[in-house]
Amino acid sequence: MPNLPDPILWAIPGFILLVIAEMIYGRLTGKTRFEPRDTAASLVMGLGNTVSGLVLGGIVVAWFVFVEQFALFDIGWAWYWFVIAFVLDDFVYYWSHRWAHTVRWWWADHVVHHSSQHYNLSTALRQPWLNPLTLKFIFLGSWLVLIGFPPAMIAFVAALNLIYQFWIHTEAIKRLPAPIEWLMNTPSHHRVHHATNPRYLDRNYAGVFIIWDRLFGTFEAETDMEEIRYGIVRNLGTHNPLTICLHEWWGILKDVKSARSLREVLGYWLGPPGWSPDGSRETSATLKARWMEEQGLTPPRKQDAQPPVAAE
Amino acid sequence: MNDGMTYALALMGAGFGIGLIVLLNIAMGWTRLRLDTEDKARRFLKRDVMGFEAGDEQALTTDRCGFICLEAGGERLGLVLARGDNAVVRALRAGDVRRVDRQGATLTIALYDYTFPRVVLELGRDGQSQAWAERVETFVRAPKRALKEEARHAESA
Repeated sequence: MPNLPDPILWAIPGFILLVIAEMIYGRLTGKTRFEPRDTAASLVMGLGNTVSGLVLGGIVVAWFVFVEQFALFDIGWAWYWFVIAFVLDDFVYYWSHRWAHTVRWWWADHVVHHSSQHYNLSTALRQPWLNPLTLKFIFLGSWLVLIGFPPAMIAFVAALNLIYQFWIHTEAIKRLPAPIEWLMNTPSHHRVHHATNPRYLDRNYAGVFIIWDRLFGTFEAETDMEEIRYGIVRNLGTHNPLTICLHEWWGILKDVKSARSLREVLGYWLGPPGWSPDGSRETSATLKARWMEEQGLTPPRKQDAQPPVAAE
Repeated sequence: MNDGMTYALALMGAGFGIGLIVLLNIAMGWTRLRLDTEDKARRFLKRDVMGFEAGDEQALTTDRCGFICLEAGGERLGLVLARGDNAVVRALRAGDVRRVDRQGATLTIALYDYTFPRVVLELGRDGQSQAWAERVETFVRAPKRALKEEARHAESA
C-alpha cells in the first residue's frame, strides 16, 4: 500500500492565499463581497471541522476497516483505479449531497455550509462539526469499500474532490468556456446551488462533474436576469459558531418533542426540511410550486416530478 | 514534541491566521447596510418572504438598522434587521413572539426562534414604541405553564 499524503493539509496554505487574493480582488473590482464577522464565522467553522475530523474521524475509519472485510474484489493500487475511484466517488458524492438537502437529519449537518449570506472562498470553508455523527458514511460511504476500493484510496480521491470544490465558491469568475460548463461543476453552476431564489432551490448537487445533475434531472443553469440571493430560506440572525453548528439539530429536537405520533417523529426527523404534519411550513417543493404559480409557469408533470425537495 | 503539543500549536497558529484574515477584511473596509428608507426595507421583505406585502403601519429604527411593519391585512408582522452588509428578515405569525418589552422608545421583542431570539428596536418616539408594543403584543404566545394555569383556572371556575 502506497503511503498517500493528505491532500487537504497540503492545500490549506493555498486556500488561505486564495481567500486573501479574492478579498483584495473584491475590494479592487467590487465583484466579490466579504464581511468580517461572516468571514470569521466561516473560518472558525472550517477550523472546527478540521478539529472534529481529528476527534470523530476515528468512527469513520473504524467503520471502513470493518466493512473492508466484506469487500467483493481486491482492487489494487494501479493508477487507473485512482481515476475510476475519483469518478465513482463523485457519483456517490452527488447522491450523498442530494440527500443532505432532502433528509432533515442530514440537512441539519449540511445547512452549516449554506448558512452564509455571502458567496466567496471563505464560504467553501464553512463546514459542519458533527458530520460523522449523522452516520451518513454508513449509508453512502460504504459502497466503494464494499466493491473493493481500498479505504485509503477513497479517502485520497474524496480529499481531491473537496479541494476541487473550494475554488468554485466565488463570484469572481462568471462563466468558463462552454465545454467546461457542460462537463464540470463551475462557479456559475455552484452559485445556483447556494441560491435561495425559488427557481434555483435544490439544484446542482454535483461535486466535480455537473453531468450527474444533467443525468438525474436536477440541473439548472444560472440566468443573468435574476440577482442571486445566498444563504438559507430563514437566514440566521447570528454569527455565533455554536448556533450555526447546532441550530437545525435544536429545531429537530424541539419538533420531535412536540410530535404526537410516530409518523410525526419520522416526518420531523427524516422528512424534507420544512416538513410539518399540517403542511403549515414551507419546503423547497412548496416554495417552488408557489413561485411557479405566481410566475404563471406550468408546474412539472407528475412523471417528471423530483423526489421531495428541501428548503435550502 | 508530543502530538498533543503539536495539535495545540497548530490550533493556535490557525486561530492566529484566522485573526489576521479577519483583520485584513476590516482594514480593507466593507459597507454596512443601512435601511435608509422604508421602501428599501420593504424590498428586503418582498425579496425574502414570498407573497409578503407590507401594509401602511411601519416604522424604521433611528439608527436605520431595523424595520418593523404589519402585513397588509395584518396577518403577519414583518421584521428587517441589518446584519453586516446584508439583512435578515422574519415574517412572524401569531404565537411566534415570546414577549415584548418597552422602555421609553426602545422596543425589545423576544422570539421563539433559536437563531433570532431577541430584537431590539430604537423607535425614536415613546408614542410610536407604545403603539408598536401593543401591536406586537397580539403576536405573543403565552408560555406553556401560563396556558396550563389558565386552563386549570377555567376548569375550577
